[in-house]
Amino acid sequence: MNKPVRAKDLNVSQSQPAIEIRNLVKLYGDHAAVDDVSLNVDMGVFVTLLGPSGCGKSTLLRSIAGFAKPTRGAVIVGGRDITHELPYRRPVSMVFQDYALFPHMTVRQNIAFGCEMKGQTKAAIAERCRQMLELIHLPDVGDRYPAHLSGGQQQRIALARALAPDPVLLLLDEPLGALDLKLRRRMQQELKQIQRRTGKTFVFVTHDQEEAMSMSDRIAVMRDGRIEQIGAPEQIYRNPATAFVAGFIGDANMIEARVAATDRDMLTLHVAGQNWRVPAARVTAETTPEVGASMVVVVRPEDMRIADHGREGDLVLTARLDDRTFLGGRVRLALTSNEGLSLVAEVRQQDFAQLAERVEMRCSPADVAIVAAAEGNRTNP
Amino acid sequence: MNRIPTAALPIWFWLFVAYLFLPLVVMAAMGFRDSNFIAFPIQQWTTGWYRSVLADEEILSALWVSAQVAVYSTTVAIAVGLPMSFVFARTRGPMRALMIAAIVLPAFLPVIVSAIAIRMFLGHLGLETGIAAISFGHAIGSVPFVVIMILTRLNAMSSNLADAARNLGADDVIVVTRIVLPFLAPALFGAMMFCLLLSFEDFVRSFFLGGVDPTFPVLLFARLRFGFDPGLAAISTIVLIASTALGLFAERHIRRRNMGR
Ligand SMILES: Nc1ncnc2c1ncn2[C@@H]1O[C@H](COP(=O)(O)OP(=O)(O)OP(=O)(O)O)[C@@H](O)[C@H]1O
Ligand SMILES: [Mg+2]
Repeated sequence: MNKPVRAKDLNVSQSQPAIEIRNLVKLYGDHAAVDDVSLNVDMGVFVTLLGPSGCGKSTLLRSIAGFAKPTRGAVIVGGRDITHELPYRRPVSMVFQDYALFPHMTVRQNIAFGCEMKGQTKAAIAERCRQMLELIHLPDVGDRYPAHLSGGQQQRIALARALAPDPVLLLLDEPLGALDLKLRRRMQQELKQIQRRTGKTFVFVTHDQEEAMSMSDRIAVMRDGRIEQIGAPEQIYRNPATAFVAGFIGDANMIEARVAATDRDMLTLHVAGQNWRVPAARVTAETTPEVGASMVVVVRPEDMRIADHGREGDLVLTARLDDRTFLGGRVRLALTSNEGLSLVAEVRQQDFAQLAERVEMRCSPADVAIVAAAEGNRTNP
Repeated sequence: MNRIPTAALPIWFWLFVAYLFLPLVVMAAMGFRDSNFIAFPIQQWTTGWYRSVLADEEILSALWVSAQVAVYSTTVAIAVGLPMSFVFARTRGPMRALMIAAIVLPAFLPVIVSAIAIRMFLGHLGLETGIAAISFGHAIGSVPFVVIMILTRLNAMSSNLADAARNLGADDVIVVTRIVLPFLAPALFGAMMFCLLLSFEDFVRSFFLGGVDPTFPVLLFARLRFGFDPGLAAISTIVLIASTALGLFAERHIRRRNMGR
């Protein structure tokens, strides 16, 4: 019988991708839930699919698990093409948002299920269950029924059950979505620790950008069935590839601009009534924009500075202070510029103390990202 | 103002309980009366009626017929209702409502109408009345309850449960035998008990579809024509106790099975 391949059966080096997705398309009727997605994830990496509701995260995950049949494209896990493999022969495990623990089985029976299906011996299964319960710090709940455990405990059991058969890949579809905020924060850390300790490749789905930022090695930002950008959290935060990514990850000031002139490695932007020179390298897209193109200057609130700390070459915006919020050592300011732009800034409290009604906000060319103006909502073919 | 109804409520409750149970108690007591007639007060007591009932060949044979019919009709009802529930659970939209309406309709039909209809239908097909006919008649009446009970449970099952099992390496057969059926077990057991009792107590269908061997209720009815005697009270009491015991056992069992949820 064709048993599922599990991680330790494979002679895979760390350099081989745990999963490779090639031009995956999933159509429902004529609507593309997943629209030409390609993705490589290395072994042992924690990758997050992040995007708004309905952007195709679950569909992509279900295509990897085999619950959704891709219309086109290929899914390769641990070097094996599993595009047409039945779900129960795939070397991937899934953690569901509602945990989907078997209610009529004890915790131990739940965890043992995957190993049993692989035909392991009783002794091996018992040992594996013990290890898993240890791993999730619940060594004593083996004989209880899932209904008698708290949400956080159930969540960890679901994780243990998925890890027990030693999958090449662990898929997690909003596994923390059902938990309250405090528990959620704790489980984020715990999940991350378990991922490090086991060295497993995690494909994690969330629509919570903070969760994605705090947990992931890599983030794939999705929109309308496509991946807009993939990269490390800092990279996505500092160098968003599109206006959508900039707006979705963290707070951002998005200031409209037009390209006035280009030379070899500098760009002149017409922005807020001024001509402003920035390095062409600050354009995060691959292609340098043409003269006249509509762009957006992305400035993070913490990169908006108060005039006194200004340097030559900064963009200067005179603005009226509308509102302030104290965040411990820092203050968050809501402002409206003379040009009518709404701005947010985060400054140190001591700087704010000297602030007047009208302030000059500055940002340095080194701290901004320049992206193409949003094309509006993409419509699917 | 609130005081009067509050004080009256427990009284109403106990009056109602008395109304429910007094006839039963009287009936049970009558079985011990040492006389050929049903009357109060009981002057002389005997266990003779109870003993003679348990030795009455006709009664034992009728109980046996009823038991067979109960088991056969329950088997058929589950065999038909279970797969049907799976189909319904999978169907969406107006088709689902239509299918469920079609299958549940017999539950609202006057029993006598459906019994006569089946009788005529059997006559057309040239089929015999008897145990088989009664069993199928009962099964038709039970299927709606089987479907409703199993479907309710099935709807409470996360669709991810089967996917989770498949994801862990279970093929379709294992998903059904290890996940779906155990999950449905309490509903299945409840439906079974319900079918057994429904069949055992049915008179109308058994009467119209029965052959020479009467079921237990039909036999009781036949005997009634010779008047009430303490023997009837004795049999009825035994049946009452047996079915109550079965009902309580089923209820307890279902509750225990449901605990795992
Ligand atoms: N079985 C299906 N049949 C038809 N359309 C579907 C099906 N599953 C998903 N879709 C559609 O595909 C799109 C993507 O859905 P998907 O569930 O993958 O989104 P998601 O990113 O997981 O959203 P959420 O954050 O809300 O879970 C949606 O427009 C959805 O309506
Ligand atoms: Mg989803």
